Amino acid sequence: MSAPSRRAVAVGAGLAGALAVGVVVSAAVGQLAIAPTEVVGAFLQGLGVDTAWTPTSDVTTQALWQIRFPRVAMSVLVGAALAVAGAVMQAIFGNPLAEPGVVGVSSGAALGAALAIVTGAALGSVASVAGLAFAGGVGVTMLVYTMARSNGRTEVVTLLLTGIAVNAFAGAGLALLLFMGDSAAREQIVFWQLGSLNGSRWNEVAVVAALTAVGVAVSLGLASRYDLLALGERTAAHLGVRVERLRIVSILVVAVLTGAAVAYAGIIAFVGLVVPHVMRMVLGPAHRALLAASALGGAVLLTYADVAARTLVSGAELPIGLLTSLVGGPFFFWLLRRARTRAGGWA
Amino acid sequence: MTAAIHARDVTVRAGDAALVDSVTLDVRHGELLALVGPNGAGKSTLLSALSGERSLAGGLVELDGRPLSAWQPGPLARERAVLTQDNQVAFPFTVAEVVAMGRAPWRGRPESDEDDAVIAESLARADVAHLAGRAFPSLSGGERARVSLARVLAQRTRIVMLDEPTAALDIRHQEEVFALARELARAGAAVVVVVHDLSLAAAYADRIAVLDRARLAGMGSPREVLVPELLERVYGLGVRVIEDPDTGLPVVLPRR
Repeated sequence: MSAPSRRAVAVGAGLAGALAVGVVVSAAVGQLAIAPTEVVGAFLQGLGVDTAWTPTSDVTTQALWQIRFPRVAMSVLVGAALAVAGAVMQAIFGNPLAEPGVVGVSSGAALGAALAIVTGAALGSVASVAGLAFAGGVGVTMLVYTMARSNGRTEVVTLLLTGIAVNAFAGAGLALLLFMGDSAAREQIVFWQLGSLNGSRWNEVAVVAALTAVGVAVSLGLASRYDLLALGERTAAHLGVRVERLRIVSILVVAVLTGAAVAYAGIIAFVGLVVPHVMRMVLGPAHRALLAASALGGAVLLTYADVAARTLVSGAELPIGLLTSLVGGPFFFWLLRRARTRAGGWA
Repeated sequence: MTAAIHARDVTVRAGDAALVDSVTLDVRHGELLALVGPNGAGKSTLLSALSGERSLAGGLVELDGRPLSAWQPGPLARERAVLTQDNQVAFPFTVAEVVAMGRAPWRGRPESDEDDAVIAESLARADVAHLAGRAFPSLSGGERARVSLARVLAQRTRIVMLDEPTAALDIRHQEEVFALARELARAGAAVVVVVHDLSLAAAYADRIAVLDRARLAGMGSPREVLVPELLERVYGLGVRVIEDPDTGLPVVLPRR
């Protein structure tokens, strides 16, 4: 086995171990303290295996399976989806600063969710919020992409600038909805934007799991083409890549992954920026290992972030989006400075 | 025998301006054709039209007797390789990884069994084997150009198009790159090279095509084409053409 792939296996094993620990810890901490052994026991019991660690109290089992486990599963899935979406975005733009938020997926989703909250107060269901958030994210992504396209080509600078314009417009729409909404709706919108994994349910987990699995699988299938795209779109085309088709499929993958994550968890920023970047520094830029490690790394990051969100302030839960932005913002600055000193910044 | 590249009345437009205007030329297998001409004459545009990258406003390009429109991207990438002028790689891939990308069109085919050998040979022929473990963005301009050339060699195609492969190179590497291009031609490839150095073109090319303001101003052997009248008309500069004492081939010098 060559050195890079040995390293990839080692990193993968390390991340998987960290994820396993994080999942157990995340399920164990909370208002009702549960021993880690009981977490494992309850999980195995659910799979039909009775062990000595099976919780003695039914309340514990119920709390784990109905509240804690779906939430942990959601944090794993949302983390993986956001990180892979970021890695794909960076691959197709050839720029490590690209992030789903930049192209407007997040703000489009926020606009959709706010629309559902304000107008559908009667419906008010989680499903309509998630559905419109998803539609908003996908719709805005496609809009930005069509606007930035001309003559079958997409210019990166145009695309990013269009993203800025759409973000501004979505921001205005959001402000208008905040203005129109009653105070309950306002509060709901604000907290939705801050991001939260609270109250995740199994049927929601199933939707996000299906979309994430499809998105990750497609992106892994395209990994070698992303490598060629790093040579520039002209050279990639000369090497047999249908660049435009690859871009369109990838944009859809990004929209589906981000839309799925944002729909139920709200805006959780910077995961798509930080995770792929760290993985690239550790593993190198080859996309097959990078995408797989990003999925794991995103899951790890969000699982631990969720634990922190629930435990840092006793008696209250911090919004998880606030936490990731707190870490991601300074990281973004550091990235910019590093790019400036190394290569004179991005043109 | 079918020409490797057959271009008939090729016209490329950007808005109203014709970047390439009714150019007709053939390149045979085993031949090295140099494309020369002043800045903005349309050399790179013609090359991108021949490679299938730019769509034509008129005329026809055939590779191995089949029009470009009939080629699928995969088979086309196994038939012709292109070295462009922009040697950028977006992420810090190593030199070995970049050269290995030249094998991508062969993935899943029997030829991919030779990948490792082809990559090693390509690294050696482009004189970049010692850089194999370096990150591409950390290389100098000349090193990047040679690594990109190695990637093109690794593609193992019968048609090779090189857009100013020597622009960033010192004179030894310039000579080596052209010697390599001629070797490819001797081994049966059809090679088209865009180049500014007329004496370099004269020393290695079988034929030279001179482009002037989007049109073909002359085409033929170095001796036929590199004559003061034609060059002075095209470049707008007085030149002296002398004979290389060793090879007898023309050497072009500006009159100073």
